[in-house]
Amino acid sequence: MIPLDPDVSRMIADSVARHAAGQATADHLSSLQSQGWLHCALPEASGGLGFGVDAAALIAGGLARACQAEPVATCFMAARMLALVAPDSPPAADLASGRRLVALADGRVRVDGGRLAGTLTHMPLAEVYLVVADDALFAVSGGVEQGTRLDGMPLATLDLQHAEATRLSQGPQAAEALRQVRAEGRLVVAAELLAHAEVMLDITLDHMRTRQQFGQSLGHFQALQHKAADLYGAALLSRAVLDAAIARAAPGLAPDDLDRLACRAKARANDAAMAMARGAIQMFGALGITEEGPLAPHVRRVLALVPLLGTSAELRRAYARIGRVLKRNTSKDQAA
Amino acid sequence: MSRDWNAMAEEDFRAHLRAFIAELCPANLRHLRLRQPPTVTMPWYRALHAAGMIAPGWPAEFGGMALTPERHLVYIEEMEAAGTPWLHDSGVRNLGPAIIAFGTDAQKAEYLPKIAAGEQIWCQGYSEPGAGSDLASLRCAGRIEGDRITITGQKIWTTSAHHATHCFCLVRTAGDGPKQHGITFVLVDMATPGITVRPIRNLGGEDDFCEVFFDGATVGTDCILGAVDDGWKVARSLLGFERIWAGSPRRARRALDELEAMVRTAGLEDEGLWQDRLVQAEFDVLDGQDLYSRFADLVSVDGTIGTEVSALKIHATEAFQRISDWTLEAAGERGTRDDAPLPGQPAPAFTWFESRAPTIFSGANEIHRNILAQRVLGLGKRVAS
Repeated sequence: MIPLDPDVSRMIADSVARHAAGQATADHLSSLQSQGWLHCALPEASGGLGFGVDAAALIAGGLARACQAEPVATCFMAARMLALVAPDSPPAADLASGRRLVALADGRVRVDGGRLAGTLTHMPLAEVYLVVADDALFAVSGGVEQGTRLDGMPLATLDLQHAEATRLSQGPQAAEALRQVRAEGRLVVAAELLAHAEVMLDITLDHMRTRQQFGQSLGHFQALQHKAADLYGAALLSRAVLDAAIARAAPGLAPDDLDRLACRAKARANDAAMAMARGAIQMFGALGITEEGPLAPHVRRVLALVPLLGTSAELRRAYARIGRVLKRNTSKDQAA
Repeated sequence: MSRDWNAMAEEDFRAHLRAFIAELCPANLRHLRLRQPPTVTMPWYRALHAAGMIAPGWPAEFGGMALTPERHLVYIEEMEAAGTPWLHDSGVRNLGPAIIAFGTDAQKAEYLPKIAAGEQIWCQGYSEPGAGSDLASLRCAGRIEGDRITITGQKIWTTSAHHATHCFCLVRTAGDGPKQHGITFVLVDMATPGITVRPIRNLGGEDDFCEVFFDGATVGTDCILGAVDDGWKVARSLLGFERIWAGSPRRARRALDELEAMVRTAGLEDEGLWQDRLVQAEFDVLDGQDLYSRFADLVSVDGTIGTEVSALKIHATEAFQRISDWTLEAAGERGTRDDAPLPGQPAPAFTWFESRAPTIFSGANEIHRNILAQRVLGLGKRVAS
């Protein structure tokens, strides 16, 4: 993958920021599609822009500031999967034309007597799902809406026994691509989480500067100043980690290294976003726990995104399985 | 004479450092837990100087290595991994950059070569009995008469003053106006008559900091760094470098090695709880490294350090404490014997003691939270610092 050059990065960031600052349109999905933000990870020959994780993180992060990032991460993962193993397939054409919404369905799938088996739950609602099983990539349709996620997004269940499945690609590259796309997806979702954390921080700081109690602004109270400083520190740390991870991931990395970076960056973003949600609500007092309050959509979104592709504990477990890198005295010289 | 260390491939640079350390840093100086007196460590200091490797952060024109922030981290990493001894290098780390930024040509020529050569060992005379976190309220007096400045007063918690040949200190030269005004930054030879040093033993059993008494110690005004009454500016810039250093991941990294060793010694390596804590500790170290690189990059771009660096100092020092808490817990009763720490061996209580200081020195972390809240986030009233 060729990383974005700084000018293109700035252009994407600017147009995403303009979009996020504008009025929410009735047809959110088609406005994202017309910008090319849902299929930009497809190769140019398939109608995309050949963009990678750095562009997707910019787009998702920028839109998240206005709680408009759905379904950027979902479509990025699908487009990336198709770009890697099935760029000329019908789902790639569907995604590029905006005809049908394509999502990557990540979960445990078996192949039983030549048919896919198992049930995938907590899926985003889409018309076509990409499923990896038994060294092959399949396109599956037939998701059923089943409930609503905390952030208001529909959740779907996919019963694979009874679904129509088409094989798009065969070979070990499907599983390898899934691993890569899952790691890149973690970085994109981390970008969203951190954007929510940063917006909540801004909203909270404004509140602290203006809200008066005991004859002065909340920002005068040292107990609250220290909480605000810690929230700021959490966001700053997560930003440093995520930006470094994306800069390293964009040109391509060995699978273990990419996984480690993505696990670490998403764990830190999870933690920063949760700390911010808790801290911001507390600073806002009763308004913090009001549905119509300014924090609510961000808080609900954070609670929905933290488990997506891994809670922090899950990510640390995955990291431990790959293996820690800072082993004791790894570079200890012989003379010692 | 000076070479471009940044142009070397990273692996070559590491290999060079390793070979150099293997050849010139004796085994009996490795992996020591206590800071040794200069008589023990100076040969290693001088070997680094002779090879042009004592001042990784200084520009090449002053005999430094001019390392980029990433390279500087590699340098620290290799030195730490090989267990090279902790040097009396406050002159290199703290004072040097301040002299480069604020010194006259004569001061640069006078001090920088001697600092690099280890001919001068510097300590920092900042804190006083009545001025700790509130450093600007310091009262140690400097009276200027003609081309002499006479210092009378007391400094305390002065690290390694008993080993130092020189002390850079803040003295009060004017008492009116805001308290940050009227402070002057003076470079003092410890051999000047009228200076008495008394070591103070710390919780870890070391004589690492001291009281310093000035009783009419007189030096020339050419020893003043920066302008008279405007030493706070010099001190602030120096604090920035000190905070970057306090924010480097090296202490937490060493603590992680010790945690790993202790988890193994205690037979806990298969327990999920301890596996998870090891990963949490590793995340704290690696994430801290990313944050450190970000700040170090900013410094190398424009040469100044923003007040945001307080967040780095808080993260690095509190990560060190979290990890050393876990090591003490993993040790259980193994950690209760009051032995002097042995080279390369875990010493959980000692590390725990050691981990207390960084959240206090270079500005207590609570002061840093005040700075972030008031000066970076714009909360409450502004305080001058």
